[in-house]
Amino acid sequence: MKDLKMKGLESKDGRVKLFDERVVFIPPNIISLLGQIYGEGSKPLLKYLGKKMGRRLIETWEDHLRPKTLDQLVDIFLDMVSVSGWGIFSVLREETSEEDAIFSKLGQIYGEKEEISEDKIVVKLNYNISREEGSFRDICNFICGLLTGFGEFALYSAQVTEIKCSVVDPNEDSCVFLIEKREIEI
Amino acid sequence: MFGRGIKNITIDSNKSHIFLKDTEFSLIIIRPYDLVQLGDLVGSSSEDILIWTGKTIGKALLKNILEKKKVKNRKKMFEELLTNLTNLGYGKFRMDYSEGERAKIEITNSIVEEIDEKDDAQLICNLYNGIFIGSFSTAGIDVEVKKSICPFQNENIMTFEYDFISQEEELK
Repeated sequence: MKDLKMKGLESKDGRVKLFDERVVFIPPNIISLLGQIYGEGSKPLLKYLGKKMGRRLIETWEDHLRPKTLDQLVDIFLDMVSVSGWGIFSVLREETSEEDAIFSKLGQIYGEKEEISEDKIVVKLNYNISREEGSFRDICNFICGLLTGFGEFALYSAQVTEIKCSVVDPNEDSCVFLIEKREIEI
Repeated sequence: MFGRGIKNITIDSNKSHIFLKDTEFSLIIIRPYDLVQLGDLVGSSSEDILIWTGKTIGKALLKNILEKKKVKNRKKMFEELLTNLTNLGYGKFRMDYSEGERAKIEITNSIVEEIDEKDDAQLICNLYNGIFIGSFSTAGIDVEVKKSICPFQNENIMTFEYDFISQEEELK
């Protein structure tokens, strides 16, 4: 394993900065332990925590980098969360056969004619740290929240569903999350 | 001048997983306000949650040190803990340690620097207090907080003084 060196990451006298923003390292099992404390009601609470974190992250980076398109915004967010130790996030686009299968599954769930558009973002998470930690669904719930925070910023109102989970089903090699724009009825 | 890379922290770049060097102790990167947020969930009990979170971090780090390193004595063990905390971004630490009696820890460059509200700064101080209490407990030492100074906007140095109430003979 390599020493942690990545673009934008700097350290001096106990201050660690990622692209000039102060960061700190914590063990991810804090999330699952919080899940245990909150017990049965932990899911919405972990989602709420994740949502706040995701929203704050994308607000900060949107302000710094000023992306011009939704694609750029998605890439910035997924790059930032991918370097944070959760695993590797990527956006699914209808380009590969593996992804075709997921989109086909989405089609079955949401209607064959429905296409992925700016109202929908599908995110894949490979090597979810939750699998290594054996923390079951708590980290997935938190990540759902993280993506909801991003989704609400990017699509104004969003809901996130985990449609594939490698933690629940070890045969799956990734978790897949669907971020959907939520229509607000007035 | 900030240095590139972080001492004693490694990355499995194939999986984007971060670890304390030579251990399986995995880590994630978060921002100081994400920690404050942990306390927001529970309102009046927020103080407890941050102390508890700190205790969990302290216990895990110390347990990891005990498993991986042959430490000669408790003082060395706590010095190792403080080095780990510096590497993890929690600031720079200075400790006066008197075996079986007391410990005083001063923290400069703590993450409180990033906090704008005084109440939130107190929550972060609770996190640090929890880290130390958790690590003392793992080392078999019962402590009482004798004095704590929580800085706000660099007006003071964060300081914790602990009296040792009782101590197990052997390291756990």
